[in-house]
Amino acid sequence: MMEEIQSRAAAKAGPAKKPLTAAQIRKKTITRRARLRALIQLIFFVSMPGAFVAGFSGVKHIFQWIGKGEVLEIDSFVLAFLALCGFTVLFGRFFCGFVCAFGSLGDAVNALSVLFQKKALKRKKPFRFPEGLLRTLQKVKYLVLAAIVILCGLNLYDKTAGYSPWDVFSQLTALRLPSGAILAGIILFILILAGMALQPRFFCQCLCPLGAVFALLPALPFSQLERKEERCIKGCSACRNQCPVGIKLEHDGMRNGECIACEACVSACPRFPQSNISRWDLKLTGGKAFISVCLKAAVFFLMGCALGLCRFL
Amino acid sequence: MKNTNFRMKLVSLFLVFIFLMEYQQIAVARAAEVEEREEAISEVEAYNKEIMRLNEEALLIYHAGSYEGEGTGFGGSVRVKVTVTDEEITDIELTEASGEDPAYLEMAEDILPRIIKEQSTDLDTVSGATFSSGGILEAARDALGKAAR
Repeated sequence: MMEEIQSRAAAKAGPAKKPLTAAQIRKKTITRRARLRALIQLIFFVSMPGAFVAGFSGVKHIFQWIGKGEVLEIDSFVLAFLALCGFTVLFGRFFCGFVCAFGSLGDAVNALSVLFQKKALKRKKPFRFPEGLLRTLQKVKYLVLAAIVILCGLNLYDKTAGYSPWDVFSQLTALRLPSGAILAGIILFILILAGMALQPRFFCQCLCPLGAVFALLPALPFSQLERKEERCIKGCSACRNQCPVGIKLEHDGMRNGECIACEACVSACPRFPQSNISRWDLKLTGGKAFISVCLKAAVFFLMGCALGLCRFL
Repeated sequence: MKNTNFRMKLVSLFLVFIFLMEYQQIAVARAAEVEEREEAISEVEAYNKEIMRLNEEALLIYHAGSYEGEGTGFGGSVRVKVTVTDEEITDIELTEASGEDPAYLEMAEDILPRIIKEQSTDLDTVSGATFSSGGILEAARDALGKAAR
């Protein structure tokens, strides 16, 4: 009698009690990490959609002052820019990977595009730019940065009004319809979204002038992801295939200005959760890698609020 | 060498920093110079303005209007009415000279157009009609004293 009840209870709880296989744990952790990243991105998208514009306006202000021969000041935009740079030097381009609203928009567009390619077009491997082309296009952002800086320095920047796709985005996040005066900006914005749909983070790695600044910053070596090559499975290129910015591991390792610290490679590693790709903070928090991400997000959130980047404060 | 990339970027950042600092030094010095010059300019402008105001004021001698004045002639009081604008005497007429002898008075009246012409009462009296003309001048001085600013 007792045995029967026990076995029944066991049967009832059966599937739940059954220990998960390593593969299942791996899959679950990957999903959880992806969801956490999406959640952090959503929070920042809603609360600080203008952070990247404010940060880059700091650069523009500095060179506009130089163009007019005025004394440099630390206004709120310059301060936001300096804070973003400091954060990036300390933690790598965490801002790009987790905070920037434009990047998050790109991730969302690309996720939809991948879904569409899989379900409707039955493509197993989503479309991506060829690696060579991508690496050439990645240089374009430095030209964009140089062009903007030079235009600001020559007092000509005002003439580009209406061309900035960021203005379009700002108006959209302010829940306003973009006005016809920035038609060129709207067209560029749509083209950028199309690019984001075809290549993850197309804008961020190829065109973003703030990304160019970050890529040129000397991010501290230990703040960057590192790969223990000697532990790698021969012929495995899982991390490289996952990388949205196409980092060539064998040539530039992980210490590359292009890395947006999205940590897609960390969970792509077949050895994950004991991933070959790690960083001191990931090692420190061991299997609970989400702690370091949450901490960084919290630090940035507090910093952003202090800088006045949060739209609700 | 380890972290070549990092070192290169560090050096570049340092160079950018130096550039901005150098620029800032020049800009601050220039701003100070500009401010100094602007101060000097505004000082001169204020001085000029004051001079202009004083000039204008100096041109204004009288309060426009007609004023009566009184003096003592040969046979009693002599009265004149002086009409002035802000800047000048435009008219002067005798209103009372009952104590003067007509012949002398006629001579003395010559001094009226001279007052207008010279815009002054510091005139020599008419010889032969010293007292009457002196009385007129005194009366005119009295009237202009009332008109003066």
